[in-house]
Amino acid sequence: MKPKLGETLLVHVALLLASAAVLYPVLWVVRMAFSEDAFAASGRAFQASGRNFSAFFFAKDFYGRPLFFIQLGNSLLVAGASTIFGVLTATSAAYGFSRFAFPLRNAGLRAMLVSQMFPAVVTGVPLLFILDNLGLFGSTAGLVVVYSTTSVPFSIWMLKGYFDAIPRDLEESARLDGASSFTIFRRIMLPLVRSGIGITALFSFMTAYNEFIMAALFLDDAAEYTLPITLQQQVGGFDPNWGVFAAGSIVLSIPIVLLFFYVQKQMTSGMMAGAVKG
Amino acid sequence: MKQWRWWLAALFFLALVFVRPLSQLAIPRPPGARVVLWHSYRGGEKDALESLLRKFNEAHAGKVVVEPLAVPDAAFKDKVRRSIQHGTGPDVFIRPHNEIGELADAAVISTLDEGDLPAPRDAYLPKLLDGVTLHGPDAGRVVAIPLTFKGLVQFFNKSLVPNGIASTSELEALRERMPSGTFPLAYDATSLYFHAPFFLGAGGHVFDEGGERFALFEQPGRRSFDWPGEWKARGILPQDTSYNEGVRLFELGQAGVFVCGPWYTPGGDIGASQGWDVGPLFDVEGAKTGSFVTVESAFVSTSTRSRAAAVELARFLGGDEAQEKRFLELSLPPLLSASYDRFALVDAEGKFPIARRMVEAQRHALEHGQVTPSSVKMGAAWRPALDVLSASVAGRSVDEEITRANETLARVEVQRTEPANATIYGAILVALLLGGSILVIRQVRRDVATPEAARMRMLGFFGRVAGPYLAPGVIAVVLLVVVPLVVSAGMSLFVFEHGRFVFVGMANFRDILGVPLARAFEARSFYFALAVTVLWTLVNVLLHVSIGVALALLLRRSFLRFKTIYRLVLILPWAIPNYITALVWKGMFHAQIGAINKLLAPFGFEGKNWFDHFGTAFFANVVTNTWLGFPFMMVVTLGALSQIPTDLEEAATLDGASRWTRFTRIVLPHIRPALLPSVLLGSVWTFNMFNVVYLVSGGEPGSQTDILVSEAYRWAFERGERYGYAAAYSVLIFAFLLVYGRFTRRMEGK
Repeated sequence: MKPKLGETLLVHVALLLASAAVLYPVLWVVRMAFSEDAFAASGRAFQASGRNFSAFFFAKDFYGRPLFFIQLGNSLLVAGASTIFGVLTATSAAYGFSRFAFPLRNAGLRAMLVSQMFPAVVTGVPLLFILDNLGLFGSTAGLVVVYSTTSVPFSIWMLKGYFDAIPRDLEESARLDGASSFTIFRRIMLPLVRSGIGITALFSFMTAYNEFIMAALFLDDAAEYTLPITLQQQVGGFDPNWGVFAAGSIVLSIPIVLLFFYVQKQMTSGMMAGAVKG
Repeated sequence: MKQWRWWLAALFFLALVFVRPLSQLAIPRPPGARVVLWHSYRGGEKDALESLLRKFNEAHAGKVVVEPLAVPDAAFKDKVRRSIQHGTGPDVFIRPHNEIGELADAAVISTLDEGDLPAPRDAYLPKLLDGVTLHGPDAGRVVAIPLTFKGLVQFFNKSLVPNGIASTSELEALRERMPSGTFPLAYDATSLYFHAPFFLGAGGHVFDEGGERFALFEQPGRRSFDWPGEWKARGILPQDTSYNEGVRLFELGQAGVFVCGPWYTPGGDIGASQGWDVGPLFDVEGAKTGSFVTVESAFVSTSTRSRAAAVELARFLGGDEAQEKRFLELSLPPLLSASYDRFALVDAEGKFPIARRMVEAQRHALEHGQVTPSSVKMGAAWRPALDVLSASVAGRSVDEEITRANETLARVEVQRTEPANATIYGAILVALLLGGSILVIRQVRRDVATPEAARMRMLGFFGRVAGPYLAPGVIAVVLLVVVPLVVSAGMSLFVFEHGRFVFVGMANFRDILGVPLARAFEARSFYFALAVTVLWTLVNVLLHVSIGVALALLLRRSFLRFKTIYRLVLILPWAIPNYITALVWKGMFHAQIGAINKLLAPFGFEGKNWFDHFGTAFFANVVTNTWLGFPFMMVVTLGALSQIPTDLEEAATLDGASRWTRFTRIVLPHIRPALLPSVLLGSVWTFNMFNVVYLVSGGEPGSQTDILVSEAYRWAFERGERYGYAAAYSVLIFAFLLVYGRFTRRMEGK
């Protein structure tokens, strides 16, 4: 079926309009990031400048410590640690849920799904008091605990999907050959879900790296802040600094966008497993 | 995936853990006892403070190190209370005095001795120390060291009004004389703080003589609430009376007088041409007037570990050197009567004339005004006043709004928290636990007896063998997910007051669900938030699905050029972190710098504030959420579309089926199974989409656009630590999602 010319034209016009709607805010931010001052973005002549980027990268605290690099370190640490914790605890549990039968298995799975629906912000109140009693309030370790509340159930759910996809006869025959269940797990299953673990870790990492409200709530020290807090504070109160915000949002988005396109095929299943909570 | 890539990924994650210690090592903190100072200064004030702190650090080298932290103003009050109660807060913090009531109530500020003040009591300007003195039980005790005070002044445009205005009676004549497109007066007319000069000038009082009962909306102050509406109607005030618009108009030279405080330095055109000056507030209907004066003060927290050093820092910040610096660099008024003569020398040399006028104008504001009342009750007055002023500006009935505001204020007068009887609840709890265990046991019995269980048992995949595999994950989930949920449910039965939890049973739920009918339709009520949430979810999901499916159908066409490029561009919103998207759109809708107003400028949208009406603010949120949400639906649909066998459609075409028939009979049935779970999931995400609502509209106007989740957050962390109330909210949200989950499972036929 060769489509008519007029029709093709219409389709292109529609798609171009949609693309314009998508790209407009992106270009607006890019322009603002490279302009001398934010007000120039509306009306006055555009003057290119890298000032906003250097302001973002080389922000210093009272003692001249490089805040950007410290906070980048914090962001990576918190996201990395909660990811590692999530994947470590979840892998074997996901295998257990996928391959074993035991009482309350289905009830447990369902409960986990329901808890995934529950928004993370709303658990802020109990977490605040739990962390306080553990002496972790206001510390990076506390934030790792907070992020683990999302990363562990998510990783279990996601990895269970990967285990489920492996045909059962594989291990059942190994079983009949006399292999122990641990040998099966280590020698057969783990190598097969390796890429699944990688994808799960990436999702979990991106989720934690992109989180801001819990971090803003739980951290009390600029040297402990993660990058999203700093970014939000640029435009948070009086005297907003849109230029620096724009520069920062480009810097923070680029790696995430690249990672996204890298794992794009699995993104849908990741979302379904609850990678992005409210 | 190849082996080496796997190891590389693992190494990457491990390396992350070491980035931080390395970056922390980069420059270590200096030695000495840490005194943490919180403030919310930005720009010049922050620089001035930091240079003072450097001096202090030098003077105390090796012994005390001050570490400042800038905490955003909006979050400050609740955050400082929370942190001090949890022992992680600052030693000293700088806040306006008017929060004293609440801070003292939360037991986070320590009382000081009279001797801690850097100067004797009677050396201070009259009325000033009222600000840092306690009322109520500990009346007369000083609780903070004043640093400076800020009152309102008039900034005027020298070419429009050469000497400023002397009285409000000139406004009408000015309107006639000034060119069109300019306004005699601009100020943030919906804020009681900025409206205070008019309110006080009209003879208004916030409290009656006894200082206990609200007299906010009583004559003679009552009439001042009509003025903003009248002035706006007559072109004396601009259409948009927000603070930012005032700044913009003044800087463009379109406002004669701008009422503002000393933190403001005109920039823009008028700043560049030095076309502005400062004077004391004009008289209001012939009477001298001042403003609410804020005494910025240094508080010593109750959790400080080095009280002596903390007090010393506070004294230093309120001392002579600091005052002089603030005067010279920031034009902030000194606190001692004597300083006015001493600092006058600076003026005699011809330096800082504007600074001098600025300071005099603020002394005028204090002399003819008052320090802002600092009782806990005062905290409840701003909101109703804002509602009344907003009604006035919007041209709605002021009387009606005042009736409502008075009701709100009357509710503030009656405070209740009676502990509930715990015995009944104990019995209920026991019954619930028993019932729960019976259910669990029955389920266990059932699970053991299934045919699947028998088969798995035979293979050795049943029961206890799963234990070691499950243990780490299940323990983690119980500790991290189940425990907080249980704690949350427990907390919903308590009220948090004066730093303690009081057991109140179902009182929170009664308060939330049992609101009087009249209030159920107001912002901040549960039912209002629920209605907004449902509307929010429906509208968004509808838009996500229709846009997503439409674009997917376009992209599916087999002979389409640039298909990959289109696809790449169209899923971009999904890739960008959603908090960044939300903040960007907040900027896009910004009244002054926003791209939307610029785009719509031909239609009269210049300077339009999108966040002062429910409809437009909600619209801004929906646009943002649609932008970031449609790609998911598009990708899901594309995946489902690729499963449709092409010959099926070709055959239908040959049979003469119309495009619409093909869509409804072939395409739709094929994508429905894939789309349904995504739609259900999407609805849960949208229901929970805190980031967009919180960051784009921020609930404006007046929490009207807040959804349940952001309301729960605000009750806990932004409206005075109502943890129990917020926990009850989250229990209700949880129940709602549970019911919805049940319902959707049925829809999916599981």
